[in-house]
Amino acid sequence: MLIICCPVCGVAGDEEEFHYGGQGHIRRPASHDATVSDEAQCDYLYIRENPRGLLRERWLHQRGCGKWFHAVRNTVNQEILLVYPITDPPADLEKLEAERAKRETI
Amino acid sequence: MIGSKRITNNTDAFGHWIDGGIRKAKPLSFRFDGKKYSGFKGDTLASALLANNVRLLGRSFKYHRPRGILGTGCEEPNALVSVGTGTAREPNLRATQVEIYDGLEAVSQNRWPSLRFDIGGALGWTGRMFPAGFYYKTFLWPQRLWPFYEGIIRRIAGLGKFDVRAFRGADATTPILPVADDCEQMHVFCDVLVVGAGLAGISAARTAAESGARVILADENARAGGRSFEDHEQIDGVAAHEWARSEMDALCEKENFLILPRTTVCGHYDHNFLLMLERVGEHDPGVLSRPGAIRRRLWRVRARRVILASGVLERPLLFAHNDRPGVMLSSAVRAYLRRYGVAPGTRAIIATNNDDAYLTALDLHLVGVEIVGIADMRDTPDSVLLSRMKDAGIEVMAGNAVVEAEGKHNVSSVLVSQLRASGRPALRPRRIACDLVAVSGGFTPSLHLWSHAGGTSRWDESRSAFFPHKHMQSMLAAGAVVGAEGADALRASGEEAGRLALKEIAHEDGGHGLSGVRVLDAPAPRMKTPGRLIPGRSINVSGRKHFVDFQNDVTVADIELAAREGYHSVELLKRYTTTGMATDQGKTSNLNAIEILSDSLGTASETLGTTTFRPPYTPLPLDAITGMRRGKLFDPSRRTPMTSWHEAHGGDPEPVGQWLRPYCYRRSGETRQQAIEREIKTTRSAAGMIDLSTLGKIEVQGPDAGVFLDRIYTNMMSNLGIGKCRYGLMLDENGFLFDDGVVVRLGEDRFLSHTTSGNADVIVAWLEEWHQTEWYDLNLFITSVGEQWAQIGLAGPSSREILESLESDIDFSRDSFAFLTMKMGILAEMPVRIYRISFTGELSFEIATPSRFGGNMWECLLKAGNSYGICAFGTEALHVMRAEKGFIVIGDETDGQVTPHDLGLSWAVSKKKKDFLGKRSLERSHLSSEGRLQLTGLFTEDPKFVLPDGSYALEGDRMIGHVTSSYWSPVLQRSIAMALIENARARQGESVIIKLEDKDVRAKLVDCCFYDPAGERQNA
Repeated sequence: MLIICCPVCGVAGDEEEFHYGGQGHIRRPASHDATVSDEAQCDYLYIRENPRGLLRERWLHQRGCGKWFHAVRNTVNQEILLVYPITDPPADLEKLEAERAKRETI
Repeated sequence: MIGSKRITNNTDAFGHWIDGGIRKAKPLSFRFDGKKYSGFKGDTLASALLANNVRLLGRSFKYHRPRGILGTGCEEPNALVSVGTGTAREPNLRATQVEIYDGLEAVSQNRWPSLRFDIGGALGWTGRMFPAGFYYKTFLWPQRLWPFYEGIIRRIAGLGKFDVRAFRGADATTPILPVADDCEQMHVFCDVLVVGAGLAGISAARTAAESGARVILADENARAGGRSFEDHEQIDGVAAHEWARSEMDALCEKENFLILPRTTVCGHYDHNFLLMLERVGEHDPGVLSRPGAIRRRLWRVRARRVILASGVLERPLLFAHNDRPGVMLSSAVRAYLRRYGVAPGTRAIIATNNDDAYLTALDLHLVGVEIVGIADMRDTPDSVLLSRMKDAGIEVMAGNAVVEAEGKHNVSSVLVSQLRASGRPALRPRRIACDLVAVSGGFTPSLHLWSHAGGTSRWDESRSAFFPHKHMQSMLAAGAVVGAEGADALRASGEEAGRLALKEIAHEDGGHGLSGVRVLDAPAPRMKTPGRLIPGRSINVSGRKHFVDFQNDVTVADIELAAREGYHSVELLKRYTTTGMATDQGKTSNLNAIEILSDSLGTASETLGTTTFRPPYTPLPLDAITGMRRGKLFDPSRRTPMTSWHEAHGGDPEPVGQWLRPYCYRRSGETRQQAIEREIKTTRSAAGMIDLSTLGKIEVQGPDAGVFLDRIYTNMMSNLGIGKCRYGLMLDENGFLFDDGVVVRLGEDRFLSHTTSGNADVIVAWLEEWHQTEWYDLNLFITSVGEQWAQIGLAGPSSREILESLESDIDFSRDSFAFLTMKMGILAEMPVRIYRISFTGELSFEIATPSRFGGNMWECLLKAGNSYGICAFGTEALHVMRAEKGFIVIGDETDGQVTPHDLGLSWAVSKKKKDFLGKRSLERSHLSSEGRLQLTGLFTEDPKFVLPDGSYALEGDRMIGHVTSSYWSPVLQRSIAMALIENARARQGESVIIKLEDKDVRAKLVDCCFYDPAGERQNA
């Protein structure tokens, strides 16, 4: 059971306060393009990452401020490395990974 | 002769009473299988029964073999009992952990007709039926007899019974009552949680608490001190358990320290979340009889650091009939002596592969139990120990092993054999009479909690066991679980862990922290522990069973068979043989099973690894998990301002979303069907009213509200005139319909969306999600106003006249108040928004008023309608009336795979809009192709026959659709149904076969608007 810190209201709360929203930064093609291929629509609807390691994902502070935000979670040990606003560009995973490795060697 | 008994006073080398002081405690009496026995306060059921020379406690799971007590704590696989009477009876409790109280009632399990004479065990025929993997092998043929086989298996195999009858009320329809309402839950945060109050745990807690950190120390036993009671050790010149007691006394003075005895840490989860079960009052009826008393408490703990000082569990040796009552773990024998003053036998043999069991021999000798020998599998035991045994006159048979235990309900003798260099026993064993076999196969670190949330383990060849390795959570391990031996080492290991935890916390800037964890190194042991498998004379012959998992009756032969059949992974072996899958989770058996597999395959145990340990560590009662969330608090229902009126006027409650809505209002003498027919006829001929307050009501406000709703709904909403209403559809991104409702434009920048009752909260979240995550550039607010407005549906030809009879500034005339428009104003001195919309097909108004006026408005309309013959109607009448009109209901006509086109609602899907949710998916080939199920009406050939909901429509053998709604229509005086059927629109007028369980029914495809297709009534 995770402890998550909401970047919008700043409250660190139990996972039960939050709602998981799956992989983040998925581009909805129809919001941008007049014509969308079946393949692009299929990818958008069904194809998701399943990494062993860092994953950018969406969370909703459902029983808190009610806002969506992004988090980077390590799927191996459940560490949450970063939380950031929903409108921010995707977090740089390589940089986060390097920082984590540096912390471990200290 | 056989005998276990309470010993007379004895002191050990330190001058301490060897009986743990229990004889000075209060005497108690209790019953086991109806017979009365006596014991002392502080006894467990196991120690008290042993003191009364009761050694047969149960029958085994599959083979019904007689079983006694093996261990002394949570590892006990055999001595499972049911405790209590009536609804308070709890099955499958370990007698070794049940503390006795005056009047305790316990019964043995899985025996018939009695414990001493059990048919299943007496016949001994069950063995051939249950080889390894029996579920996949036997009872397979003929298949039709499986229900019969299953009945037999369920009768034979099993643990304690749950007596459902005790929970039933006067008749069979009364629901099963909850056991009790005396379980609570606590949430707690701490800096350091120490698991296990042995010497290492106490030392860790003491060190951590000295700094002022918030420390919790939890132990599943009633007393702190761990194994210090039975280990012959001193700290600072006092006996180790005395030292432990004084340390605890000092700790308990501290305000930042909490000791939780009788508390099992059941599970460790991500981010150092832990569940602990505290047995608060179940050991003491005196506590439980007080008002508001708590039986159990479930602790939900968040710890910044966890120190695991869970210690070790002894494992048995494997020889033929090693499950006979009288075969006990060596450390358990010592514990019964030292803690409870009980000698579990009069003539004992020690079977061991390590040094620890020699202490048991010395203790037994001290209290006068005859030691007939020590069979030590090692060729050269420790010389110091040998000379101590010589001094005591105890024979040590080095290089010997017990190969078989003999006797029926208790061990009467054992066969001891010299072990050859190959490890196989010599041919001629010695028979030695005894009534107690104290076995020790070495000690297994309790890694369960270490493994729950991702701790890894490493194999230690010299100690033949897995030890904690790395952990990805903030968990440390200390004490015997990391290999510390001896009181001083345990203490040092605990103190080091305590210091390390403090250091790590100090380095953190708050938060839970997830730094890597170092395992504390332990000194190397003195001697390698040899393997534990001692083959008997006829290992594979039926009737000479070597038990590995006592609780699930898994033998060495089972595991070897599984290995021959290709089960080479410990995870598969576990599932195939069920070893380690019983309620004891293989605490005494897992490592032995791995070693046998390793021997069979010629692979190192190290490479085989262990099975994954999963919570809970010991069984967790469901009522502890439920806690207070039972009955009305389980899923509290929401109320509308009119709910009290419904309750007072025969409203038949039906769950809808989180509400209980009246299904119908039954008047005296009416059946449900009669009530529904009356409500429909009254509404269609005069007027009816229904509570619609549960509908979701969402206001969307802002300059971009129209644009936003255009993207949410399939219809265009931005061109809706102010004061106008429009029925709208919502699709998910797959193009499937998932909600519908009426949208009202309240002002230039203000819309009101109505949703279905069940989806009220879901739609608010849906709108928020799209606004926040995709179209955050749009300027608007989304506000749920569902609780703020009461809403009443007034329907029927007299509804306009009823409204006109009340004082109002609203003109209700046909010309002024058109269909699909909204008016605001005052009605009967209350503020209202009135929408002229219809779900019944009648002239209809929906009257919304602030919630505080809801009850008043309801009664006011009812009173005004009285002279017109108005009645309240429930959800079922509404459903019948909408079906008569062919209107869909989300969840009836939709199932998450239905598009608006399938339902004939293409008129509500905008072709002009560039984008809306689901638009692109609707264009996918399989959603727009021929052959999809389409909505149609059905008339059964026999107009009196009402089809069951969900029936299948067949074409030949092929399923071509199903019935979605089916009712008796009181106004048409015939049955009507709606159905989704392949290409239904092209097949109008044709007949289909509806397949029922007992017959086929022919039905004709017709238009699904059965009543007033021209809409004259709603437009009246």
